[in-house]
Amino acid sequence: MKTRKILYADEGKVLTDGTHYGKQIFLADGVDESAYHEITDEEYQAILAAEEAAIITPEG
Amino acid sequence: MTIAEKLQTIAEKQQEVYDKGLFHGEMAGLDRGVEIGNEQYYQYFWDSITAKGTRTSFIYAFVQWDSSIFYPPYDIRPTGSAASMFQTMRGEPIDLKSRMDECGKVLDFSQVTNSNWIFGYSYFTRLPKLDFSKSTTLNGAFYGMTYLETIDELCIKADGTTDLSTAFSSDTALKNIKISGVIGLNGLNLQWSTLLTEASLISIVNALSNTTTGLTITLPLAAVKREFGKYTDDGNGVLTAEWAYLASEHTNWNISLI
Repeated sequence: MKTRKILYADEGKVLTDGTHYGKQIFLADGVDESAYHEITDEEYQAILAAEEAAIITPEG
Repeated sequence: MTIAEKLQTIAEKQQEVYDKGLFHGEMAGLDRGVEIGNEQYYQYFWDSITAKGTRTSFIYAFVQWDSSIFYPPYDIRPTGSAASMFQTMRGEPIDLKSRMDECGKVLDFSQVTNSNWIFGYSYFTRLPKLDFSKSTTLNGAFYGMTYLETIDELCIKADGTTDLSTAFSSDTALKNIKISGVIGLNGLNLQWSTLLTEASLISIVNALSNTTTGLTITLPLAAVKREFGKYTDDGNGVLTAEWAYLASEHTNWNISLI
C-alpha cells in the first residue's frame, strides 16, 4: 500500500516552499514538510501579480 | 401616332433596353472580375507568405494577424523553431481545428524543436492535435489564451524533457486537454484552469513521469474538488478514493492544489 502525507493550509492561508503554492500539498516521497510554511491569501495574490508583471514575452 | 412615330418609339425602347442590359452585364462582369481578382490576390498573398507552400520557417509568421484572413491554401509544416508563430493572433476567437478542416489543410508541428510562445496570447477557442513530440520547450506556448477551451491532443516528448514552464499560465477557460508523452522537466502549473474536466485531469496526472524526483505539479483545487469531490453529511467536502488512487500512482511528485 502506498501512503502520502498531505499538508492543508489554514483558512485564509496558502502553503509554499518558496517556489510552489497550494491550499493542499500532496507531498512526494521523501519530501520534508518543514520545507513548507504558510503565507496569507493576500501575500499570495501579491506574489502572483508580481510574477505576472515580470513575465517576459519574446518581445521583452 | 403614325407608323413612323411608332417605329421611332420602338427603336428608342430597343436602345434603352440594350443600354440597360449592357450596364447590368458590365456590372455583373465587374463584380465577377473583382471576385476573381480578390481570389487571385489572396492566392498571390499566400504564395508570397509561404513561398508557394514550401516555407518551413514560421517564427513570428502570424503575429498580430486577424483570424478572419487566416484561410491557408497550403499545408503548414514548420521545421526547427516555430517560436511565437501564432502569438497574439486575434480578431474573432476561432476554432483552429475547424478552420484547418474547412481549408482542407494540415497544420503539422512534428518537425518543430522549439515551440516557445507559439500560441501565446492568441484568441483560439480550440486547437487541433498538436504534435510537439520533438519540441524541447513549450515555455509560454499557450500563455494567456483566455478563450482556449480545448486542445484535442498535446503530444510532448516521451522522455519527459519538454519544458512546460508557464505553458498554460492564465488559461482560465481551458476545459479539455489530452496529453500524450511524459511530463517531467520543471513540472507543470495549471492552477488557472478551474474548468478542467475529470478526463483531462486524469490524462494530465497519468502523463507525469514515474522516474523524476523533486518536481511539483500544480492543479486547480476547484476543478479537482468538482470532478473528484463528494460532500459528507456535515457539509465538508472530501476527495474520493478515485483521486486518492490517482495521486498515489505518482508519489514521486508533489501535487499542489490551489
